[in-house]
Amino acid sequence: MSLPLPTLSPSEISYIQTSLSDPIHPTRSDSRSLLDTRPIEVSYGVFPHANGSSRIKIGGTEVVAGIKLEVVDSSESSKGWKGKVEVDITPQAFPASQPSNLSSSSAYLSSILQSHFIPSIPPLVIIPNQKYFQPQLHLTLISSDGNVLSALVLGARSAFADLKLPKIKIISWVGENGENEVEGAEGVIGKGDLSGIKAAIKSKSKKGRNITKGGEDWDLDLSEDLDHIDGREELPVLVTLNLVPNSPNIFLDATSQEESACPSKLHLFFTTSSTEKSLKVCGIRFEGGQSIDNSRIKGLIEEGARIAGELISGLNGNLPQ
Amino acid sequence: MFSINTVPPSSTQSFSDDIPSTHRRHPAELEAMDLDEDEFGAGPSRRNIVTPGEMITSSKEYMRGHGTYVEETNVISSVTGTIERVNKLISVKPVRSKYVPEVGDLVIGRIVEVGPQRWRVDANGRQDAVLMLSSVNLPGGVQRRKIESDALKMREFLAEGDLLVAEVQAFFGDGAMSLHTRSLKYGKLRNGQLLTVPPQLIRRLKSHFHHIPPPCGPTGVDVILGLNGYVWVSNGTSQDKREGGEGFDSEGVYSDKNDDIPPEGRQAISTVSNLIKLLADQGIPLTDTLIEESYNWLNQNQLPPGPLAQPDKERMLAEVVGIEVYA
Repeated sequence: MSLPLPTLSPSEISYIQTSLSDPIHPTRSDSRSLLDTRPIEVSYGVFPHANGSSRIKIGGTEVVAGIKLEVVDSSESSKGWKGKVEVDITPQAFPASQPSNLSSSSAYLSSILQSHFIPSIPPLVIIPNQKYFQPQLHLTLISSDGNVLSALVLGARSAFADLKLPKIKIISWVGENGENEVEGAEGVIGKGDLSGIKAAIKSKSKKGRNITKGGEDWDLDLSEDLDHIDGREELPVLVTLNLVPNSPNIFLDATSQEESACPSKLHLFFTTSSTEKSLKVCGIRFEGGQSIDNSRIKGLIEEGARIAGELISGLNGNLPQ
Repeated sequence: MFSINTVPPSSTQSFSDDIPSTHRRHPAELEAMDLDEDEFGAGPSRRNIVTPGEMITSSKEYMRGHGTYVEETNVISSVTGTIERVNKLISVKPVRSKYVPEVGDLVIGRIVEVGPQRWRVDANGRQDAVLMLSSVNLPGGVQRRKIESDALKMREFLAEGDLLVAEVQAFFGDGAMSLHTRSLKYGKLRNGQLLTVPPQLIRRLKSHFHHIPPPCGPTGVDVILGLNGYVWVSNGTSQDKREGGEGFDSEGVYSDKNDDIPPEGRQAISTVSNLIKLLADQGIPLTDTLIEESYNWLNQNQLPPGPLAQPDKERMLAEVVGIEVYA
């Protein structure tokens, strides 16, 4: 519970808890059903200068996300191409909080996303085993009315869905025998006019292989249309199951008052794969202080998977392009 | 379960083609001429709405009031709002501002701090309000006198986080409100939920305790419209219970225990809350008759339970209030 929550009086808390724990007719403060979420609004491409961006609105919670790509030299195994994420909480989201609390909440949210969202992003290759695009994801929480973590993960996922990779062409000197052209990531080297430089470049071998190389450089190839990344439909989603104290009921998309009254929640990160068509769990977090019977866990995860399936199909049906 | 909508990004960049040519001129150039008496009068005036920095008049005849300042010989508005003129006094009434309390206002507040012989209350104003121990009714009825040990037991009456309804009694020198709950209809709130709306939408009326009768819930729904923008929607009670008739429990005024409310009652409370939020989002001033009419409209149209869908919302606003909402 490291996000600031509104204070409620004991009778308000009791009212919310009794309403939610009714076994036959649970009621929520805005008459939604337990598994109903508030309408979600997604906008893509809100920052034209970023490589990928999105804005998510779930009721009163609003998040903007942006991705900037950086080129890194790395090999596939050393994982230097792994993305970085930073979450920023604006003071207007929690006007009553101290800045120090906000920065520790930001660190907490960034670490959750770094552990459970970032590892599922495939490497963005320029030259295999050599050059990669490293995505730097920045999320900003503009206003909060509960369900913040879901909004952040949705924002991250949508920004990656909007992300377009620039095509790269490698510019390199080709030696005398270089009728072979070296292929860059998606482009073809132009055979530059090297007449004056050929003398300065030493051939390492006399065979027809191209091994003479001068200073290798790369440039953006803006002549072709940009592509979205592969695997954007398989990025993780988060389902947060809020637990009602002293009741088997669970509900989705809590408002901040409901979160104050029912602080225990189970965060489930799911990812899907195009080959298998089944959901995989890629993160579980239980927070809030209540302890539950371990026999409930399996049922909760299955329920979460069912909900995640619906969310994923809803999101994948709405991708830009 | 999920309703996901893709919305095109709204552009906050303005392009020079959009701005009409008059706006591109320097404000000093634009004629802020000497306005004669009728300019701000009762009839339709040419310039009624001003924004910060906009010159109202350059006349030396006028005195400046609230919401304006003087620069050289010009009276310039400092807030967004409408111009008001009283004889030679020009002021600008802001469209949106923090709640401005008056003596006698009914407000809903939340206890922030318990201090010596007083409580500090957040009432959505510029400063926290103060509720003195001597201004509350102690359990046992109106006749009960304060004893020494009461000052040590303040948290038994009102602790941090509690909600109460009170009336503004006076102001301190620094402008902080002093509240009192010296009536049987004021005191701690229970059996319901709190909403926040802009304070400007609550009119000053004779009574702020409204009761929407059944069929809205099995016992009706009570709505308390606090002038500070806090609205309390709760389970309906009878007039007697509320104001000290036979059903009134004088010992239990400070109890935190809610009554047993059936699910239909809770549904009614949630529905009324949704209606109030909807009306407030459109900037419509709230009155009890409006809320009751909206609820009756819902009943007549027999909408499915749950939150209102967007087309239903627009229809309700058009038929009950008479405003057109364009998405």
